[in-house]
Amino acid sequence: MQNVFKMDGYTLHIIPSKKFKDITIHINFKAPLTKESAALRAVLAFVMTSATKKYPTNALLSSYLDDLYGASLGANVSTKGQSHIISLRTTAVNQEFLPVNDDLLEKQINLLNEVLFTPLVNHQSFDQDLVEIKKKEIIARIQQGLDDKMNYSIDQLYHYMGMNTPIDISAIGEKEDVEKIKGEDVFQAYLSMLQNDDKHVYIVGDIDEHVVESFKDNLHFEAHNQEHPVIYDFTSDKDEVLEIIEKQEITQAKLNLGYTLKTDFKDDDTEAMSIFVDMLGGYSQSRLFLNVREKNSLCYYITASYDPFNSIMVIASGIETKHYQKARELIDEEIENFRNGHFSDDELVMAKQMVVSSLTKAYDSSSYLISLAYNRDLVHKKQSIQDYINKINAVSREDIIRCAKQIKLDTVYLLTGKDPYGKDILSDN
Amino acid sequence: MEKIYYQTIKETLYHEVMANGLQVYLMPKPDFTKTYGLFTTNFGSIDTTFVPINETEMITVPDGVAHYLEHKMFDMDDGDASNEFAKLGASSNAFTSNTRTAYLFSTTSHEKACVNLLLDFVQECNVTQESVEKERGIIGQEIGMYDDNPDWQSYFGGVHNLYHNHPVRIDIAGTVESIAKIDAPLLHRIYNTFYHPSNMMLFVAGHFDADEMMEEIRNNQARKHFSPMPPIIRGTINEPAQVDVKSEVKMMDVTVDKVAVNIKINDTPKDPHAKLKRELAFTLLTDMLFSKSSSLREEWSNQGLINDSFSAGLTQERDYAFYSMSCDSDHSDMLRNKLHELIRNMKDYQIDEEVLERVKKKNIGILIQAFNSLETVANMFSRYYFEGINAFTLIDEINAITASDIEAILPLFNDEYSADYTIVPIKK
Repeated sequence: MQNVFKMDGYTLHIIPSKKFKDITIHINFKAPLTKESAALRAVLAFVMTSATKKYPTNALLSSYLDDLYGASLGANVSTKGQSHIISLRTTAVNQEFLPVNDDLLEKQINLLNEVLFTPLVNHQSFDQDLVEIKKKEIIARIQQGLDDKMNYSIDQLYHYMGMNTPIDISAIGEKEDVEKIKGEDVFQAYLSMLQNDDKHVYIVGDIDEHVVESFKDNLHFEAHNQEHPVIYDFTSDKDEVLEIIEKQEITQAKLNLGYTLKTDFKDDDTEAMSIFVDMLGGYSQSRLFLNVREKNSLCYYITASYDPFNSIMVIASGIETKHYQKARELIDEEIENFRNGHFSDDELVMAKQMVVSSLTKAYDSSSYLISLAYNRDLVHKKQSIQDYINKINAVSREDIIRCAKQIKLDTVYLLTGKDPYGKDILSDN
Repeated sequence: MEKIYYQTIKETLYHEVMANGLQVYLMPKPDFTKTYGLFTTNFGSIDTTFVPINETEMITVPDGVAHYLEHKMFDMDDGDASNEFAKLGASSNAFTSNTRTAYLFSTTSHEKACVNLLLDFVQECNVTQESVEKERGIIGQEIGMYDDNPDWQSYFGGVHNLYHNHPVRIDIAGTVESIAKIDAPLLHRIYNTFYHPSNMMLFVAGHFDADEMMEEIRNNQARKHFSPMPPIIRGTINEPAQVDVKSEVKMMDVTVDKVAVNIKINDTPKDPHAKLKRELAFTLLTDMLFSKSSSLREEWSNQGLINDSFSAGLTQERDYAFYSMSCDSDHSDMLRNKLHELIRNMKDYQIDEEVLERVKKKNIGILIQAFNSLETVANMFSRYYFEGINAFTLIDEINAITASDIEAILPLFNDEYSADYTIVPIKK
């Protein structure tokens, strides 16, 4: 069966599977990423999924969803490289499991039609009261992000590493930008989203081609085709490593390190890079976990992650301030080990197995299936899960060494307590 | 082997009790690629006073032992269990709750080898004093991480203030001081007491054949020897009805206030079914009061009193229960007062049958969807199992809840037994 359909102004992807007890639909809208538009589009996404003309309050819309056996409707905003993505999402129980005969799928698609085309708009403006509530909620989320020190310390690393670049932009924007937003601005952002965004629709569940008709009746957009690049190859203008130390009233220090590299999502080495990063700090058998945590007891968490849409790698850990230098030395040492080929074939095989296993698990999760497909559709990369697995299995020792040699430390960020040991943390150990 | 088909969710559950007392439940999902195993003991952070196996005197152990043991269980005599799982391409983990400790794996191949490994590493304790010492720094860092987490502090600070004596007042991981007292002999003593097969349950869901898997488990257990185990004697806790600290404000390096108002519920029903009915009545009432479809939630949101971070719900475990409501707020004083006022007014709460039916539908839908996730089913099954309930019947149980079941819990909203806990930014 064909599973990709060119529709009016969007691409429809059908992923039939009988194993799920519900049906999941994501409508993804992609636009260029800027600091101001991130805030605006976050408000838009949350306003659109809170009320419509037909259900003009969030309580009424939620009551309707509850009546549909806990169907969900929500929005997620994210950044990918230099893109901002709004994802409107709904799930509803497959009617086969319901005690009553009800066409939930049809209702689900109709609801998306209402959300998209009859929003709570009057006189070229979204409902001002609703906009104000959503602004407050987004500001509250921004504040929660500041109060979660793990999250805050990662944001600070991105900030110092890439000030005024896409890696420094949050998907929900900044407080001062959110505060300025008015109902009219949201309406303009809405029009722009409908007209200009690149659009992909995914549906997963026990469905067949008939569903295409239903989308034809309910969803059409004017042609968009505003292509813009997604991948951002972050490059640093720093001559030497930037080291930032910030103090707060906290118990556990957060040590985060940002690295530049030359492999993005479309490069041939991208699978090798993800295996290297996993071997370094991606899971419980990684070098950093085994040596910094298990062997030296310096931390509870330490992870390395690779962002192929921005060509960077980040190491994040929670340590005692007095172990700052020691932790850095151990991290450098492990990277050096990979550069010199000091790792076993078993380690490589194990990391590959873990990644393959995690990819295979995607078949059991609707949202994971969609995100794997969307990442590729975003950049027109033709790669099935099986192709991806084959590339992973082909990664060699030499590939790992080449990737390890490629990474370059750019920024070190330490969030620490107020000098609890009364001595200079930089001269300890 | 017993086999039961559940029509509402179209799932089959297989059950067998091993000769040594271990309870085994299997849920094959042939069209899934993944298999998830969860091996749980009825032993958690609140089990700090008990009579150890082969002893006669009741002892009290330092807070955090269950969690400490969980960390050390991965030590095998010839390596590390997570490494062995990784060699099979499987990931593994463990967690400790107030009443349970659970070990788990997730895999897409070598299902039988993974189940054997799970049984083998948990059914042998290889902890040495050297490895206990090494772990202290890691757990100390774990505690430190939670010290700085305002949501965690708000939750555990609030629970702490409800109880004078009950061990639930202490964080699961214990404190830096309490874990300093833990050594290898103590961990072996609690291991021998609480990790006997008759105190444990194995749940496996996913891609396997039930007959073959059960046979594998049977053979695995037949190879091991366990001496018969008398019932575990746990200490009874003398907990006054009143809360310990009525109101507290804690300062943290945060930007926004966090309010938590909790109600201590003193008489937890002994009968598992009555206890479940109470819990589900609370679940439905919480949705009627506070879910996004409720008028009260909308009113408070419109007034700017609460936001998306609002959460409410009942926690009911072996011998304690409390109801908690919490939210980040720019108007924490006003919200705190509103929540206390709500508690006082609950005795007059009028149940709208239409709303009740709606929230029942919602909860049934959510439960059906829960069966999409092996992890969710396994964790839900294990949680209810030790409460004496089969989670596969929850949909029917929710269907059976009536307005009078909900009326029955209204008197538990008693402001005399409530306590509030507020986190405020340091620079105020």
